[in-house]
Amino acid sequence: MSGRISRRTFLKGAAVLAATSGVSWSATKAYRWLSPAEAAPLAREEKVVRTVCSPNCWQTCNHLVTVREGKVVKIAPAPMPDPEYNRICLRGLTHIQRLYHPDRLKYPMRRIGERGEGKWERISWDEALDFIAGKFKELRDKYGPQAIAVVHQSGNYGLLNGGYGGAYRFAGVLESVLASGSVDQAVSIGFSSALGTGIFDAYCNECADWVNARTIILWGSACAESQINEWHFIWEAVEKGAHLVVIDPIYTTTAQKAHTWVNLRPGTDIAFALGMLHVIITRGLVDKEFTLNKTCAPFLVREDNRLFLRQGEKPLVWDTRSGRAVPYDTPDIVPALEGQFEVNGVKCTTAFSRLKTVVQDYNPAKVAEITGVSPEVVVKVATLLATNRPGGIKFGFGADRYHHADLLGQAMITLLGLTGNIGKSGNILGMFFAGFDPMVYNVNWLLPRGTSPKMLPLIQLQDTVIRQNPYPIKAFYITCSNLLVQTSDRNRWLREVWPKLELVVAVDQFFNNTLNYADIILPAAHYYETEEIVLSGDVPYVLYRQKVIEPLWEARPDWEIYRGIASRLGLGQYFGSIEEECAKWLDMPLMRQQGIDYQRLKKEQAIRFLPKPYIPWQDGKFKTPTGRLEFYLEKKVPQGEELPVFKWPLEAGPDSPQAAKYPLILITRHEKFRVHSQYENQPWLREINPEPFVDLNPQEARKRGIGDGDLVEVFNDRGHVTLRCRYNEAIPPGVAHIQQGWWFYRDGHHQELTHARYKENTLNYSFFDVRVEVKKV
Amino acid sequence: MAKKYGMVIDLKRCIGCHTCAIACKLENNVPMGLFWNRVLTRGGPGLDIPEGSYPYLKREYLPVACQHCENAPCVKVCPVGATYKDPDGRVLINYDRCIGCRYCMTACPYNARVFNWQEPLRIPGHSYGSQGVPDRKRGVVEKCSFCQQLVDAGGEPFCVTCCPARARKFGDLNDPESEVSRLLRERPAERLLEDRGTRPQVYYLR
Repeated sequence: MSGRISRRTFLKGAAVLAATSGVSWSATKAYRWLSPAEAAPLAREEKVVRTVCSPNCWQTCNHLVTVREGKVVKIAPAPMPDPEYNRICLRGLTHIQRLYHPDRLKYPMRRIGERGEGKWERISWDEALDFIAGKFKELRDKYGPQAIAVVHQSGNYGLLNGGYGGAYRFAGVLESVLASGSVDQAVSIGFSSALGTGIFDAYCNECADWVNARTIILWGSACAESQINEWHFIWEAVEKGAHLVVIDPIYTTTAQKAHTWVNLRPGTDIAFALGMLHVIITRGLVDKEFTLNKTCAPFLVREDNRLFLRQGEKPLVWDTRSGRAVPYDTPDIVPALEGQFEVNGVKCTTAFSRLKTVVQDYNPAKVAEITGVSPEVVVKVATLLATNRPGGIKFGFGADRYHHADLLGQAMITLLGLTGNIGKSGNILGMFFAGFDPMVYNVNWLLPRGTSPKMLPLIQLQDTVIRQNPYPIKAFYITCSNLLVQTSDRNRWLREVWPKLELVVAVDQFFNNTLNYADIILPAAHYYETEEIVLSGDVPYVLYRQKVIEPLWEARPDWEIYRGIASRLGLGQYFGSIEEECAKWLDMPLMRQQGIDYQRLKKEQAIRFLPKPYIPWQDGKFKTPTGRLEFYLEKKVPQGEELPVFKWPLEAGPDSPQAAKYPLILITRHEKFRVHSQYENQPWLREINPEPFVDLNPQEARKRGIGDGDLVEVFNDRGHVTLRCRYNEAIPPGVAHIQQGWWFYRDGHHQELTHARYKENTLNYSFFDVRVEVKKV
Repeated sequence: MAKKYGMVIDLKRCIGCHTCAIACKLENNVPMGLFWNRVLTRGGPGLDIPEGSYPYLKREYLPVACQHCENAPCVKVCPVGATYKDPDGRVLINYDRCIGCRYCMTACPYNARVFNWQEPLRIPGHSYGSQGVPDRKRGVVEKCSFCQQLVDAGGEPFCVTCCPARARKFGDLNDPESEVSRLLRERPAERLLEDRGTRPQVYYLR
């Protein structure tokens, strides 16, 4: 080791830290050179409170928080019922800074200058709530309840104070528009359709079971950074001999750990998946037993309209014993997997035969041309998944951020189905997500008044406001969301949407780059300052968040703010006490069956509600109408996408009209220092990661006369951002990379560069499907 | 037999996430601008930058704190006996004795020690971490103690507790039954700058 590392190496690292931190945080107090050091006095009054951290890394880590003399002094991982889920990360450990941050919002404030000008006056909570309720009433009377849009994202998984419970209920009671979603859902839409589930349902084996995998494909997932606490399961599988494949154009920390790193061209993931299907089908690697009996592969597809041939509701298969078409679930038949058939004059083939036709052109050589990956790699990865079982595919959301990502999801689930990698220990089906499954929905709780919110996919909010159609939206109530930093086409928000809004209320903890454009800002309580149930992310528990300290300054839990506004509109009865609302929410069949009520939850704080180990689909029965894995999607026949096909994305492909003018694809990926835009201003994290850079491959930078560290402008027709360039060989030529989530830049913002164009069936933001150019300033 | 505390860090497991660095700051009341525990990138010129040319790349993370050397150069140069080797094999500092001469910082080949050039600045403004962490003032050198306050109470260093990759193990190198001793028997381990003869008690598995 001494040969490769010198003392210089250690000094180098330290210099970086000193240079970045010393400047911003220097104190210039009195000179006290030789004052004696004192041991801290011992045995001061202390208590330890167990609570939950719940941003959208969806790890929902349970924390043990030490409070000394009324102040939070330490945060540690709490023991879970299954110790493999004990967890914390660099971000969670900084909550102590977030709580007491000098920049934390302390009071409700009202804008007194122009929007974005930064002039505010402190107002009381009563003034703020009276004003908001008054304006809401006025707008509701004049334009109807949909003049108001509650806008929420994923900032908190708390039931009452988070986006998915409280905000939903608030919008439902008001009958307002509820704008949310549109992020991270395209791959899952394609993937889960075949299973017959919702997009964030518990369709995957729990993470603790991943250690039994033999082949793991991390597809567009920087798991070692963005789901840090899932990483150890992956690595334990590797230590037991699993082969790790990472598919990512960028040499991430996750890619660095791979046995096989598939560095395909951005936006070509579907072609790679089709190549894998080609290999699996043409080389006889299909799990015939599973494919015939558990999937729609033998279903007969009509040649005239490409729909299943049916008898009544039931799709037919060709029984090779009797030589005729029979319902797929007829006992004692041997269905044909492929072939051409004629049934009562209708020409048919099987779904499998159609798939075979679709993928026939995607031989490894052609896939290599499209993706830039060698043909041997296509064969290797496909063979591993099919033969080194059990295996699985974990998707992150890197490959999700392109226009046709749903087709990638379809291809992934088809790969898992054809290789029989479903329903067994060691299988990974995309992502494990427990807390949003229908089994833990409580619709009665969500809609207590019997009125519903008008659901609007977030990506359609810009158009809706601009056109005032289908809803006459005049006011935003933004919570759990840094809207202008985490959604696309920022200039359009500010130039075309904002002028149409008579009121923008934003609830948060800091002056991020959304709040500065609000009219009324309300200081939200921190995770540690509230009590509630927390919807679990990738852990199989229902969780209890205990209040650690009272909200600091005048911060209030979101739930109390809802109550404050609703009660002024005569609807306060729907926002009861924490105790009663949490108890009511738990009153659902799944919890009742297991004897989980609020008293018990308060005592145990984390209760497993799924069987151990949680391995869905063991019976081979899916939630589709036929109970089969329906990788052939009849509903997508009109688009010609009933089976996965390769299409270049909107902008990122070489065929894009933008390609000549804007040769670089902009990737804004998640790194370890933030969860979306949360933790952006945490001083300890900023000591390590002090400022935004655009990462360029040195080759691309030099072509443009850009030096390492030079100030550059990244631009396209939609907007620009000014920041420093960093030479980074981890980034392929042809790509510009900026960490997502930065609030402020010297000028512009990376979300000025992104667009809000979407595919009708996914309504998903394509954050990476973007082209830019970079120039020195 | 006397104890000899040591640490084993599995570099195959390490993902360079800096959780150990932040955990250390929190537990030990380390002020802004200072780190007892840092994660270096072994590769290209800066943090997280790999070496090589795309796609032929290499990158490895190296968490570095005090190596608690058996033959500790910092102990030898300290003119006031502030830095010492304790009976359990740790290199510790008596902050009351430190005169801020920084000889130890020069002597340490690992750059593991940091100096309070200014009045310690903390965010939050109050002291944090476990009770029993010694207070340090402007003008003293500080560094990792293997979380003495936790270990002496039967616990483990906080970086070990928090590591999401479960890459860090702590224990008694003199105890053949300890996890660290077992790992060192089972897997090839290296120490940093072995040619310096410092005999670190922190081992790296690769």
